Amino acid sequence: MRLLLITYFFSVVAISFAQEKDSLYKKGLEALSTKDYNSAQEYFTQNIEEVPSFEGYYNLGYAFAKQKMWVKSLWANEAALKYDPTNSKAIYNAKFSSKQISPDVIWSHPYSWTKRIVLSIGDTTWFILMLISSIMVAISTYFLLSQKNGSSKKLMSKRLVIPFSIVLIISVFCFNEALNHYEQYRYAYAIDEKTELYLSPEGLEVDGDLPKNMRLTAIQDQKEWIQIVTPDLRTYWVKKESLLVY
Amino acid sequence: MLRFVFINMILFCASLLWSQDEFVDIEINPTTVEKGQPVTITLKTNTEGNVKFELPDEFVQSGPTHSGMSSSVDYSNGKGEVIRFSFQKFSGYFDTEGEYKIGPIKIQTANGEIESKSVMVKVHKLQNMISEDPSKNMDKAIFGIIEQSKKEIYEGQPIILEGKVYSQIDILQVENFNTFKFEGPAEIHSLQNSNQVSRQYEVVSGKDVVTFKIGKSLIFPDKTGNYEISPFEIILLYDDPRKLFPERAKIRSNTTKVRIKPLPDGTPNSFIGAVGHFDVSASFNGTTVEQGKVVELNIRVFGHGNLHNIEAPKLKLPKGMVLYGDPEVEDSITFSSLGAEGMKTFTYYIQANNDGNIQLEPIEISYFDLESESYTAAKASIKSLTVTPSEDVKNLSKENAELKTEKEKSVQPFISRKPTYKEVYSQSFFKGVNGALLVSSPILLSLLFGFFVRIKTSGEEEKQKHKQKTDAKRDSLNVIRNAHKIDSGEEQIKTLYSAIIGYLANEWNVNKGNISREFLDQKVAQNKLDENLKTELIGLLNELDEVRYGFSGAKLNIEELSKKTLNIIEKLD
Repeated sequence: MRLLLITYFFSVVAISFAQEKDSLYKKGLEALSTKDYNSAQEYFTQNIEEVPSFEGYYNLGYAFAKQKMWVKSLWANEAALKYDPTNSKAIYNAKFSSKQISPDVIWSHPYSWTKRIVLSIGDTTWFILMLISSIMVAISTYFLLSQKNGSSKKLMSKRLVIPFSIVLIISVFCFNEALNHYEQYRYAYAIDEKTELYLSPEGLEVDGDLPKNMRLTAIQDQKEWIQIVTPDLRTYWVKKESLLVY
Repeated sequence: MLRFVFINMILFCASLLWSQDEFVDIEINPTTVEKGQPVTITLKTNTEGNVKFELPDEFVQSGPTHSGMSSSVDYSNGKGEVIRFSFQKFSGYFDTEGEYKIGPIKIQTANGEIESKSVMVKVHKLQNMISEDPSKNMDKAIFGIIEQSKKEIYEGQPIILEGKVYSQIDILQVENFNTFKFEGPAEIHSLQNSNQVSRQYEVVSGKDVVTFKIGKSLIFPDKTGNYEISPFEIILLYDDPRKLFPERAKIRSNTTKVRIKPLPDGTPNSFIGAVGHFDVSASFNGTTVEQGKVVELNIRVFGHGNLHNIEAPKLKLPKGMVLYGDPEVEDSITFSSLGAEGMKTFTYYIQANNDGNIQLEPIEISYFDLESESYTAAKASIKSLTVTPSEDVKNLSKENAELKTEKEKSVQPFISRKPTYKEVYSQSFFKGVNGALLVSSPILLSLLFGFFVRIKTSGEEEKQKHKQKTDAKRDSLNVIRNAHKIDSGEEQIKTLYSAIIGYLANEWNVNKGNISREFLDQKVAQNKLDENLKTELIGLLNELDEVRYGFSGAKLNIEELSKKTLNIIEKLD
């Protein structure tokens, strides 16, 4: 009886949490349909802060674009690509936003082709592949050790163990890549040129400017701080609130 | 009386067979052959039991399996010993080149499993002995040659192949024809019905011969390179004047080659992949069309070569003319010695969006001309088309243009579907040590179980070996102890000799045939046998040999020899 009550309690909490997440998103959609882009931008910002998603970032990018806030639109569309790197609409809108900022700059996708393939396949598929190949390596190893020389099972295992090991290594690497992808900030855009730059978190402030419309590479982050690399290869620590990160 | 003699004979034969050592052997003749050449595989054994033996899949049995009894004389031990055995004989050939291991044959008998040696058979490529020149084959009564139109052709060009049979004797009937084969990717069209042939008379090297042609084919090779044309085979019924009835002969022709060259560089833009000789004509299906309506343009390519494989000619349309999809293709082609011959019609559907008098540029196609060995262009001019104006199209075009401009200035629309939230894996069970353990646990378990099974199996094998060794020792000792009970003196010595050799072979885990005086010297050198014991052992073997072959007239004292033998064995233990 107690177990039933606990299960019921958690189910109610989970459903209400999901509804809360969706309610912000729905409000954003309603605002977009009434062309209230400012409200839509606020709803989608809150939504992605709580639970990031491709749809949240993409619609936020759309709301920014409609207000001609092109840097933010570029950032939101690239952030959407973090969750669906091959989405043609987000790619188009990122290109469009980039063109509005500087027509001569050719926009490039933030993620390499290999990474896009790894992410498109998905962490669940990589995980299943990893488990299957691990079991196949285990079966091959078992037969290699336990069977007599010259037996057909041993011969077959000899042939299979290397290909399955290669698949295992690749799937472990790709699964790890797919997991880490969503946890780390990789890129950032400066909101303002006059951003305060530091040599270390809470450390010495230094003079310098960040290019406003350029994608910066993030190396690491610590609580409220993030370390970025400028195009002239200088590294600075910047407060997260001064950047648009993804 | 007769029954008594017969029974005695059977018992005598049976006792002879019984007294021989069990053996199983495999004989292959020859062991180096060409593909398709006859091979005989004979299995011999003097025992019965479950036989385990498989022939390779590549061995094609071409006749019945013969089995029976036979005997041979073995002189290997210095005496002529009659060996009686049963045999099974397989006749056939190998249909694939390579090296094949035949055997071993294993027979599970009442005394355990016996095994033959295995034999390697090398199968080489078939060497073709037929010349392309008929005059060089006149030593054969009947022979076949592949005739080919060219030895070198260009990519896309067809080649004609035909089989020709020459006979110096009277051919009555063609029973079976297995055509030649182009050993590469190709499209093949038969130009002749192989059931109908007509004979002709020719003189080759001053001799009258009957000839006929068969299997004429048109071949379009798909890729460049050097390719072999494998021989054709034909079974003929001919009249042999020395025999009462007609005889059959199987003829295999020569092998030939062809080289497919790539087309030269400098392919024109209007090249349609055609090789041969072609021309083109073109026309609209009318002279007038309303603006916005579709008009048909028919382009006809005709000639001979690889007409069936050509691509659609490329169109250069003026502004306001829009092509609708791919052209429809209709062909009227026959295959002959010239290749694919006839006409191919391409129908293009074009929408005329601008009014006025429209003049299309002449349609140009390029093909590779085999006579001049160069790319040649053919052109066809088209009569002009009058497009009458339409108000509907004008308005539609304006709207479309505005829509396009608007679309180009804007971002893609927003998405209203339900979002898919990505799980954050920072606390994931599958990361770090847990993940590594999860993935590696099957492998670790398999290593553990694998080693466990291996240790267990090797332990059992060791036990088995040890048991076999102990049993063999005990058997040898029993034989030596009971040797004096055997009636024949010669048999007693043989038994004693065999038992001591068997014991030594078992002791050092080698075959009986390896036990020699040199072997004992080696064991002394390896410190596995005492020098004195070796001297005693050799002395015993010499003594046995002397008694056995009677070199010094030594008399048999089987009990003393048995004692000596047992004494040496005790020391060896």
